[in-house]
Amino acid sequence: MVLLLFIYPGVYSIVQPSGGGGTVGVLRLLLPQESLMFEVLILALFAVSFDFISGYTGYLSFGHSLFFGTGVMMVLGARADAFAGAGIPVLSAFGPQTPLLQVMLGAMVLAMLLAVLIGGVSFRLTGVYFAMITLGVAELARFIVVGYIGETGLQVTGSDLDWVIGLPGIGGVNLIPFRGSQVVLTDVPILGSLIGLISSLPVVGPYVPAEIQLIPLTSSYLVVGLVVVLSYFVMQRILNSPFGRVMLAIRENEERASAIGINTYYYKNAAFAISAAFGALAGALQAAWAHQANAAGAFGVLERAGPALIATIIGGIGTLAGPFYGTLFDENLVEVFDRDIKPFLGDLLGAETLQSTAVLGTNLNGVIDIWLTGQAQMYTGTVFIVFILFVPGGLLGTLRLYAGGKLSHRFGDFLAGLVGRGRGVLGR
Amino acid sequence: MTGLLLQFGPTALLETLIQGLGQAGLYVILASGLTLIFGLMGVLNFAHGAFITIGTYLGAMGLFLLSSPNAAGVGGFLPLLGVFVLVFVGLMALGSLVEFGLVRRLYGRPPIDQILLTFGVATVLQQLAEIFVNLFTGGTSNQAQTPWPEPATYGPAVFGENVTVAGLAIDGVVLMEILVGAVVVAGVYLFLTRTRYGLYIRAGSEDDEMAEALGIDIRRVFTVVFGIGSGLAGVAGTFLIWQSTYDVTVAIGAQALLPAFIVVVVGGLGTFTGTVVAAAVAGFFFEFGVLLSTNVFDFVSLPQMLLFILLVVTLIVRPTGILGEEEVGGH
Repeated sequence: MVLLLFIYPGVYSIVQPSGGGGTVGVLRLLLPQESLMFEVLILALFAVSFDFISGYTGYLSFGHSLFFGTGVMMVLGARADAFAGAGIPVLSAFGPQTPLLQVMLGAMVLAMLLAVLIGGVSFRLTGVYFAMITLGVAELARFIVVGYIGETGLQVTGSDLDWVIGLPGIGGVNLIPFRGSQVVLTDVPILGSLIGLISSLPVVGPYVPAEIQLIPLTSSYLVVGLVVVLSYFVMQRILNSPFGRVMLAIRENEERASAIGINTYYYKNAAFAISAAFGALAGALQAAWAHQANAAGAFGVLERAGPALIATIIGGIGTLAGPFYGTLFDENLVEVFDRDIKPFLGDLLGAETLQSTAVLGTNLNGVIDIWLTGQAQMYTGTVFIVFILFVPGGLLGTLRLYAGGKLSHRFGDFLAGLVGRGRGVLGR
Repeated sequence: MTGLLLQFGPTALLETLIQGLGQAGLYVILASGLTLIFGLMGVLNFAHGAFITIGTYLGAMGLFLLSSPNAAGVGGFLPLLGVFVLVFVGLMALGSLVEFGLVRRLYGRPPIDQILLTFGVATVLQQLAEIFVNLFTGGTSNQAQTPWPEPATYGPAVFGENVTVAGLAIDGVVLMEILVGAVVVAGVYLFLTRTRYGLYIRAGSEDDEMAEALGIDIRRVFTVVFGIGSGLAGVAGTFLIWQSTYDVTVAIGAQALLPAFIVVVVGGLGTFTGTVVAAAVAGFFFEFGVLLSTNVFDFVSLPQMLLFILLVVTLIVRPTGILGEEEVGGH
């Protein structure tokens, strides 16, 4: 799966070599664009962080968009040099020259602090209260941010700083270029020498191209992919540790968990803080790429937390990978409805047919405009309701139920079985 | 400094007090549906916001049908009454349908599932509302997302204009909100304590299995309460047309849901009396915030912040709300 993510840009460019123009095939209709996969990765990280707290401890973090917004505002605020101007104590250390990595770490820490503040008040109560309070804080944050940046939002212009990894003060290594200009991989410090090393190897060497060029989208896609996959594995590791077991114990029966001596209040707060940090990371990544945001898109519960919630349920709440598939489905449907369906039908039926076919006082184009464009959330919402009612485990949860364990494990067993059977047939 | 003193003179304070009462009336109508539903069924109804949105647009439609712009005198209030009845009945039907078709299937499941389901219903209903608004306004301009000031001009002329009551200048709609709020409080209270159905509801809130064992058809009671709650949400939505703090867009319900939630939590989940008290407190807080933010600080979000501070302080001092008894809902 992970490998597939990284080779996707190449695969997509093979399937769709024209890159935007040309006829719209079924594949083009159904396969997400590279820029969309970019969004999917970031939103999937956000949905996974939501699932981390909601699916594993059973406490629904309804206003999870608060942390996404924290990340967004941290990056944009630093880039716009808003913190130093406003004279906010610690935040004013973050200016437009601060490396992105440092800003992201700052956003994660800030989100953790926020989470502990909220959790400190609301974890003394039941999950219903927790859902309402997180919702309230997110909406309040949105009001406050609107007070500062207005309804239309904030846009940062100017050149981008690369993503510098290193220690503050000592200087960093620019390992990974992010949203810069065209990138020649062999010129990148460490990665370049690595490629040079590989190409000097006897057998593989000749196959390495002398110069690998990546457009900014692809290089940033790979960077974001790396961060998202790393975050995913960190969260998976936490969930498989004793800490994760405690989270499950809280979900299954909190009273029993505290009866055997677990300080559930502490564990709930810690889990919430971790989840918040990754939510903020997703927001920071998104802002670093988009360079603009408005309060609704960053903090809005319906606009930001809602899709993550829907994606989590469809993919499977309580499975860490589920939200990823849910987001893929959700975002792809949005893209198909908003952008792809019209040219696709236009090619299939002819553009004139779309214009001339009268349906209830308007034409087919009008019908698409009203019923499909911008309305994808209605259909995903319907799927969401159906899933809540009939498939509470979600896609992945139900698949695991039928397979009897994690799919990768099952697949491994299946392969082993095949090998065994093959040996039997061959008589060895 | 003198200017400041003048703005805080007794007249301004009294006006703020009455406006706060009006805001409290609005909050009662917004929140009582939520609290009734939660008290009886333990369902936190996120679809409430969508019902409010639909109430707003249905109310606007009713105003266009029944009323005329700036209707003067008593003649303006009869159509308004008609609109309220129309909205209440329409939303009651929709709410009952949602309960009967969807929410009913989830009573045995954890409360989180019900929150999720009603959230899904809210999403779908809001998008449907958007589609219908766009259908009626001719398509591509996407009227549903842009503020729509026209309905506010229909209805009684005194709405949006200051009426002089005992030397104080009060917006007509504030007086109407106080009136309807009082009617709703009295109506729900009498309904709960003086009718057979109210008895069923109170019995069901106490112990629904026992009530069912005694021969009460508790499922029908659930449907009726969900319907009444949704109907009240619709009426509240109609009032929002004249509120200067809200724009008529499809997002109006989501915006109004936040104060409603705050009122319900502060009052104590599921207690109607608590909700009324909390609505009064929150109403005064809000209007005081408006007074401060327009005169002293230049910060538009201050009223919302004050409401929120109220919520946080309540949760720290008395986590179960002003009149809440014990923790409800499990997790």
